[in-house]
Amino acid sequence: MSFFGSYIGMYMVQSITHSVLTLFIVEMSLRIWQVGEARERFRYRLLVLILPFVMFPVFQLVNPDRGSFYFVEDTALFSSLRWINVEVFGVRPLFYLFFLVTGAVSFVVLLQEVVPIVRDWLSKPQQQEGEGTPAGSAIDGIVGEISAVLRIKKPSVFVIDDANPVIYTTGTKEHAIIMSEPLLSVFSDRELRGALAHEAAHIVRRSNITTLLVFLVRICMFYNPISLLEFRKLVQDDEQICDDITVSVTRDSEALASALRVFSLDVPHSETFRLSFVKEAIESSSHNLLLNERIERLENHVLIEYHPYGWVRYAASLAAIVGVSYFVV
Amino acid sequence: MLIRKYLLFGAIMSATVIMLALLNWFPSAVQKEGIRKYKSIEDVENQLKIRKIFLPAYFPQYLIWPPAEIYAQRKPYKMVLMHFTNYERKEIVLSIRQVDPSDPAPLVSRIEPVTIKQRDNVLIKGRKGLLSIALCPGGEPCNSVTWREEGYDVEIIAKDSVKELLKIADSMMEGRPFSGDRVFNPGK
Repeated sequence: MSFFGSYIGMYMVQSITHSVLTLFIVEMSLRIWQVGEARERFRYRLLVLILPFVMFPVFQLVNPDRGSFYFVEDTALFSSLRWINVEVFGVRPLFYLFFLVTGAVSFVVLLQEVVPIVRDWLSKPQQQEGEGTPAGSAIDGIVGEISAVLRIKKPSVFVIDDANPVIYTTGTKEHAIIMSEPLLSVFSDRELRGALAHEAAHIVRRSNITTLLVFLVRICMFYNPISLLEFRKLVQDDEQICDDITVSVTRDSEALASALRVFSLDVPHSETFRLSFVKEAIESSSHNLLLNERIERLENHVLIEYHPYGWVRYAASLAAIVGVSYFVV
Repeated sequence: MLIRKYLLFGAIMSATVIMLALLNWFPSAVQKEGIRKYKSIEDVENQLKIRKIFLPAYFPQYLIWPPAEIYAQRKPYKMVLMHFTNYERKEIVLSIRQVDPSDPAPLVSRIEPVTIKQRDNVLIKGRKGLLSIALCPGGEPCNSVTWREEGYDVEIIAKDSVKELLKIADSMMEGRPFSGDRVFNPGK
């Protein structure tokens, strides 16, 4: 049996093809339905990551014969293998392109995600969650006020000894906001309130658990170029949703925009070529690009008042994706 | 306004389906020698230049001629698969396949046996063959016989008796007439 005839091969090929198709239908849906809200966009984009991950096994359970030649011949709308097997002067270019792309994407995921996690885990085994000193009554008061508005249990706030400007939320049940010491002196009161409200918004949205699940799906589909790109868009959408929630609480978009500027990274440069510089420069530029998009959005006040969610049109898009994908093998 | 959006969505989805169908058709249009469906045996002979196509001289009356389906390819391995339907039941009851023995994963018939009850060596006009007494999904008899001839593995699967199956197989072979002396004993 050839690789593409095996279940692993079929899963890899079909999940990529389904990702492309889902991405196309989702992007079309976003335009047709004129989806402007980050929250709604997030739910649409989640489909691009989740559906290709689960559709193949579900389809196979529904119809075990779906992988057969006769399903492709009689029923299928599109067969990826027809293209993969196209010969040009005795060579199958798309066959090699498939392995080249999946190999390159796997390498990027390994380098960008797996290696840093393992390296951090090995180099900082002593660092535990909750490390740091309590932030004090002033900050606790602000967080208590924000938590009351957002109707969440007030999280603890800890200050850690880190020279970099860092603020994040930990925990999936018991949450805590961790911030680095320099932020206390860098942030004005308004900026601090905005930054803390933003972290509280992540707690409201359960961003930690959502991001973890999405990240796991992405790691499972380590070979899939669409998942690699879509994950970043999802994270960016999540940040924008939290920005919107923050502004709805603080009514001060300028303060949040100003607070975000603190997190811009210096792009490293060197006279001599070094691969580590290139990697760091790309990562810093990418980080700044996403940050600037959020800052610009906040400065332009393109924040949207949320309205009841368009479930019917969402269901129509979902049905179209699942319906068409079933016939794409 | 909302109706227009739904209509536009429907139009875009329809265009997507048409586009996928066109994309699916294109490779088979440019790759003439890969596996495809053919309308007639003459088309296979002319387009793929496959000189020898095994056909039975004995053809039970309940079968419809010509074959209901013909799949064939020249590359990477020569293969011809024909399905024949029953005149009354209008379902496929016989398949004849000839395939290059070096093909690691040849196309399987639509009537593939699921339970093999017995295997026996048989002689088909003096050539060694393998007879499988088997059942198709649903428990219907689904016997098959395979042998090697002129650089092909020939396989016949029939929803019929062993006697009829071997009669069809014999009629596909040139050479000495069937002697009646087989290794196989149908009474077993």
